[in-house]
Amino acid sequence: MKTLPLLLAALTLSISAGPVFALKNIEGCDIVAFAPGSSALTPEQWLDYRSKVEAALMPGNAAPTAAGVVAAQKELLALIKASPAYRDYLAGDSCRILAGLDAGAVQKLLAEAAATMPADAAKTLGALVETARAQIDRIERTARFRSNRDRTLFAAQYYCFVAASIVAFLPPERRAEIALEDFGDTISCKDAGRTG
Amino acid sequence: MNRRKFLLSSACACLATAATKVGAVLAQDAAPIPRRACGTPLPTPAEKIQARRVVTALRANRVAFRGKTIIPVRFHIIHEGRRGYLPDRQIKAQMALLNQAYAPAQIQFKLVNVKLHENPAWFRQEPSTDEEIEMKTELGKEPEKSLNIYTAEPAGGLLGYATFPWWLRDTPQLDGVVLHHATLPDASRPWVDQPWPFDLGMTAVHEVGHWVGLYHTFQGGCQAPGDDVDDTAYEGQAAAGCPLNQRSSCPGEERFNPVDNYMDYSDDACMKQFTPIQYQRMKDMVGYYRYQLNPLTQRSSLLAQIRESIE
Repeated sequence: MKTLPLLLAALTLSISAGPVFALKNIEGCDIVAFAPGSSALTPEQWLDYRSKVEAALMPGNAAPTAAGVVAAQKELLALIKASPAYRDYLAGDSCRILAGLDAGAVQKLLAEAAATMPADAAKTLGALVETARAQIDRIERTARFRSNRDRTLFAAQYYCFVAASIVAFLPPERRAEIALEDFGDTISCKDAGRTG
Repeated sequence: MNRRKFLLSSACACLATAATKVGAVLAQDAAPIPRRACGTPLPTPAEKIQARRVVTALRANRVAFRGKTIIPVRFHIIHEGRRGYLPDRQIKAQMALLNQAYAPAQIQFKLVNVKLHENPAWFRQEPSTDEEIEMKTELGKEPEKSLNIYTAEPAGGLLGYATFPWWLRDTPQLDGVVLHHATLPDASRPWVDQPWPFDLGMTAVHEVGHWVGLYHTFQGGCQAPGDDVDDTAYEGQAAAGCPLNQRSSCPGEERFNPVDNYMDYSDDACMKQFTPIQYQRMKDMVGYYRYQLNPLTQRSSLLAQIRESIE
């Protein structure tokens, strides 16, 4: 009988705490802003990215959802990381990251993405986006950072994760025309102090 | 520029008939109930609204928390070898600083426990990760009746983070304050680059400020109701360094940016004060949400009725 309260407490924690993985990936912004224009990525590789994100979002997947999505994002970026064009992009003025999310714009883009994917996965994606937004909101309201730059960089990891997750489900022609600014305010990588 | 606050008239009306009894710690407040109107849409999360409802209900019922609240503090020092290890000297210095900063609210912190835990994974924790949840679930004790402070080395420029008092009911396991070990005062810290303007212990004062229900002074930027505290100026963005005597960049705000306030992001040496209304708010929030810290608030039937009527 003594284990019952412990089990209940554990259950409560797992429900109330939500996903226990930080929904973070600053390189997600590169998936939106750089990767669609990169000749190094083939349509098949984009499809593979989409499939992996979708698999992670489907109910009953083996890996924890957020970790699976981040892994898919990193695998896609790994295909272009060694390219000179990507290195030039990171070092140049066109490299930007998200400094905020426009809630209305994100909802519209989520709806666009949802139209192309299974309902279950779309539901999970929506929940994931909301959780990421809630997590960074909580952190920003109760944390002290060394500097505003650190705060911006920290939050960008969540915003970029969100943007790259949504872009996975946009059709190729839409992906090509969409800009990071369509998700919200941006800041240059140099100004943000992004080093990697 | 006058700060405006939300007063939820429906909550007031609902509570107008609430009990008028007061406990020993709750006294009739002779001051008239402040009523202001604000037509600004509510852009803030639901919990901000709820916290406002609490303040409104407390004022409507003329609740004033008097007397001292003594908060037992449990220090959990997470370390990786020598890194992160904190001697008693630093803990004592931190406690003294907390007691000094919170004395005007009659909040006193009493150290009851210091424990060392060597755990590299917890040491590098970040908020909302497995490591944070595991650590707090395993180590946290009596969150309703004490303050759990964890020291570690969070990444990403984080000096510390905390939980708000209104999160206590749903996630008591996560309650508490996490501090970067290098923020504690009176340190010798060969591993930290010089200069390090955050080692005078003000991060703990700041994070405990959240733990007792305060927001950043720049919360909401220039948009009402800002940080829900009338006597801090609206602030467009967090301060850096110590830019004293600079007027707020917010339109219509004629006061200086509150860079010497504990709830800004200024350097430690710059942080000097809470405002009177911040002290009032922390007393309200502790009395209402952390009522189990004080036997008198715990027994108060008026508080129980208010809680029942607005939650």
